[in-house]
Amino acid sequence: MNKVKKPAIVGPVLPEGSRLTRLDQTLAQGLSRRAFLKAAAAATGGTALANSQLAAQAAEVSKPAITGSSEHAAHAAGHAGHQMDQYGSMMFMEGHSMKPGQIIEPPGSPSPDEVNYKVFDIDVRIVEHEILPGIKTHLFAFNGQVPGPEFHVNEGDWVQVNFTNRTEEMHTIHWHGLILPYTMDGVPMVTQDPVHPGDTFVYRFQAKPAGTRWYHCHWSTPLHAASAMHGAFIIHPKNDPIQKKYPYTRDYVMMLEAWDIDFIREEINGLLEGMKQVNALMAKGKLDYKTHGFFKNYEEFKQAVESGEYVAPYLQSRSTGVEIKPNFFAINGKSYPATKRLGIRQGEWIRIRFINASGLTHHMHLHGHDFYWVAQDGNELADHRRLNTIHVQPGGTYDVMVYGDNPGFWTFHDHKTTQVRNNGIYPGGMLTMLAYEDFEPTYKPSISVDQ
Amino acid sequence: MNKRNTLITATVLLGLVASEVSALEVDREVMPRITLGGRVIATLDYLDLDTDPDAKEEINLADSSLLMRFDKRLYRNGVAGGVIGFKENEHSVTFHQLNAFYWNQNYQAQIGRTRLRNSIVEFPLIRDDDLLTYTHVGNASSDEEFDQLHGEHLAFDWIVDKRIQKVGLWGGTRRNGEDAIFVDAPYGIDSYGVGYTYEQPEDLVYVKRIRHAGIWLDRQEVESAGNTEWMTAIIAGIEFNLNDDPTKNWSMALQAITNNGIDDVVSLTSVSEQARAKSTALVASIRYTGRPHLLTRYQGAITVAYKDYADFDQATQWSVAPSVVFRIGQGIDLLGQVKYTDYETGLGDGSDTSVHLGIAFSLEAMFNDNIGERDSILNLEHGYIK
Repeated sequence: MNKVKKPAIVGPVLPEGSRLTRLDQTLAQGLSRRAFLKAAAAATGGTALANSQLAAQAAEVSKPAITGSSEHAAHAAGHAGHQMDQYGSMMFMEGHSMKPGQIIEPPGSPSPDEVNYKVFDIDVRIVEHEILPGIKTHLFAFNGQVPGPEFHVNEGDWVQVNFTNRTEEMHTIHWHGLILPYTMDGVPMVTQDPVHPGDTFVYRFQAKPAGTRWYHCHWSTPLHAASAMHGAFIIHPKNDPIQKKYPYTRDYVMMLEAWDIDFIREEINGLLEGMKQVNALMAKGKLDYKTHGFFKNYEEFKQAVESGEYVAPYLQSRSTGVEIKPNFFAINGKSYPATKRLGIRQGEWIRIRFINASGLTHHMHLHGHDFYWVAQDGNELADHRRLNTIHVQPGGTYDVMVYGDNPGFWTFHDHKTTQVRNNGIYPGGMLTMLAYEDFEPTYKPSISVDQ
Repeated sequence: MNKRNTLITATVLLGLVASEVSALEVDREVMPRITLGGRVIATLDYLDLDTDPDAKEEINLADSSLLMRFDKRLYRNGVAGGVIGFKENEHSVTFHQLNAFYWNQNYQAQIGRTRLRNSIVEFPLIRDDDLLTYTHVGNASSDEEFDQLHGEHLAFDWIVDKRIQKVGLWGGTRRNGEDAIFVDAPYGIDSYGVGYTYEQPEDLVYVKRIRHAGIWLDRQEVESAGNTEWMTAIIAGIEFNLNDDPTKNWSMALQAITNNGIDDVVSLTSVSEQARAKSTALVASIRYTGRPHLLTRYQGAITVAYKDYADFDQATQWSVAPSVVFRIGQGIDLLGQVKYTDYETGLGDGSDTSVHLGIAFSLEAMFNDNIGERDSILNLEHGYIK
C-alpha cells in the first residue's frame, strides 16, 4: 500500500526543453501570458471582449487560449470568424496546425493572476511494469508510475495540472468525482480535443468537493484507464468529520486493477503503429478527421456510414468483437505475492480508500475484523455501516475505517476468488494482508503461489 | 474384414493415436497459440501464348494455400513452434511449408521446408510465380515450378535492431531427386546464402521512406557433365515510398539479380538451363494504394521486367504486367492483371499474353495468443497488396 503523508507529486518538475519552457520563453520575451492571450483573442475576432474591461477579468474564459508559438497565433488569425470565435474542436478546423509541442490552455477557470494555483506537472509515458516476478507488461502510466501519483490537496485549493503527452497516442485526464468547469472534465470531443502527442494541456480547477476522488484517461478508456492511466485524487476537508469520529493515523489507498496483458500488448502495439500513420498525416496537415472517427455532428456521422464513405470499425465487416479477459488482478500495480501489506498497530485507526479502476466488481473481504464503511464516491455516508466485506463497483470509491484490536496477520482479498489468481493459478491477484507491527507472532506467513 | 478384425484394427489405431498425443508432460493446459492462415485465389485466365499455342482460357487456382502455425513460449527466453502448410500445385496438394522454428528478441532460426530466400521484393503481381524467371534466382537442379520457390533449409537470422534489420544465413537443398534428369545432382546441402534485409512492420510501410530493402548472396552447387561446380547469384532490391502519405500512397520497387551461371550451358530450353545460364534480371514496379481513412480499398500497379542471358545471342526477354486490386472486404479482393512477355529469337521468338480476372479470399485467425507477433503468418506467402 502507498502510505502517504504529504502530496505525492509537487510541481514544477518538467524537464528542460519541455512544452512549458516555450510558454516561459513567451513570457520572458516581454509578452505577458495575458497579453499574449489578448492578442490571440483579438486576432481571432473576439475584439469585443478583448477590448472591454470584461476581457481583463475573463480573457481566458472567453477564448480558446492555445499558446506556444507565434506560428499558431498567426494561423489562428487566418481563421478569424471560424470556430475560433467560440471554443470548439480544433479537429474540424481545416488546415489547423497539429504539429506537436503546443500548449493548450482552455477557458473555464480563473487566470493565474487571479488565484493562487498549486501547480503540478504530470505526463504520460509507456513503461515496462512488473506486476509480479516473471510478468512484465507495457502500460501507459502517469509519470511512469503504476498507478499514477497520488494527489493530496485541501478542499478549496486552486489546482493547475500541466499534462504533457509523451506518447504517440492521444490522451486526456478526466477528474473523476470533482465538480469543475466542463472544459476541464477531460472527455475527448465532448469537453476538449484529445491531447496530441507532444502537446501539453493545462487543467485548472478548484479542488472540491472533499473526499476520495480519482483521475483517469478518458481516451480509449477500456485500454488507457484500465491499463494504468489512473491515480488517486484525495481532497482533504478543512475539518474532517471522519477524522473526528475515527482518529486515524495512517491513510491508505487501494487502487483495484485488472489487466488482460495479452489484450494490452496487442492493443498498444496496434495503436502505436497505427498512430504513426495518423501522426504523419497530422504533421503534414492532412489528417482527415474521419480517419480518427471524429464527426461534426450525428447527422454527418450517420450520413457517412450510410453512404459507405466511412466504414465504421464496429461494423461486423471490420470487427467481430474484441474480448477483454483480465488474467492479472492487482492492488496498487501489484499482484499477490508482490502486493504490499497494510501496516497497523494495536489501538490504531487506519483509513483505507478503495478506488476501483478495473471495470469489474471486487468484493473486498478482511479477515479477523469488522470495519466501518464511512464514505462512497468521496462523500461521507449518513449512516456508517459495520461490515467485513465491501462490494466495490467499477468507477466507485469506498472509504473504510479499520481499528487495530486483533493482532495477527490477516488476509485481505477480493472474495470473487477467480480474481485471486495469477493467469488462472490460485492464489494470486487481488490479495494482500493486514499486518500488525507490534506483536510477537506464533506463526509467520510464508508465500504460496500454486494451490 | 469381419467385425472382430474391424474392432481389433480400430483399437490398434486408437492406441497408436493415443500414444502419439500422450507424450510425457505435454500438458493440454499449456495450449499452444494457434494461427490459421490461408488464401483461395481463383482467376479466369485468358491465354494467348506463343510458347504454348494450345493454351486456352482456364480457371486457375494456383497459389491457393492453407497454413497452420502452432507455437509456445519457452521456459526461459523465446518462442518455438512449427508450421504446416499445403498449397495447390499442378492440380495436386503439396506441403510447401513444413518447418520448425525458434525466435527471441534478437535471433530467429528455422529448419524445414519453406520459401527459399531467392528473392527480396514482392512485386504487385497477383501470384507468386508471375514473372518468376525475373523475380527469383532459378533452381539449377529442378525444372519444377514448385522448386523455384520452395526448398528445405536451415536458416538463422540475427535481428539487429529488434524489428527492422536482419542479417541472415541459410543452407538448404534445392535438388529435385525425383526427376531422372537430376539424378546426379549433388546430394545434401546444395545451396547456401547470406544477406541483409531491412523491413518495416506492416503499419509503418506507408510512412517510412524505405519500406524494404536487402541484398543476398545465393550460391548453389550444380552438376554438369559429371562435375560439380558452384554458381553464384546476387540479389539486390528495394521498395520505397515516392510520397509519405499513408492514405494516397505511391511507391516504387526495384530488384536486380545477377547470376554468373556455369560455363557449359548449351541451350535455354528448360527452366534449369535458364537458371544455369549467366544472366541479369531487372524488375521495377510502381504502385498506387488508396487507403481512405487508413483502410486499404484499392491498388493499381504496373510491373516491368527485363532479362538478358549474356552468353547467348538474341536472348533477351521483357515483360510488362499492370494489375489492379479492389478490396471489397477484409481480405477479400477482386483482382485483375494483364501480363505480356516478349521473347527474342534466342528464346524462341514471339510473345505471350495473358489476362487474369478473379477473386482472392485471405484469412488469418489466431487463438490463445499469449505471445505477441513478430510477423503475420500470411507473410509466409506471396503478398500482392500493400
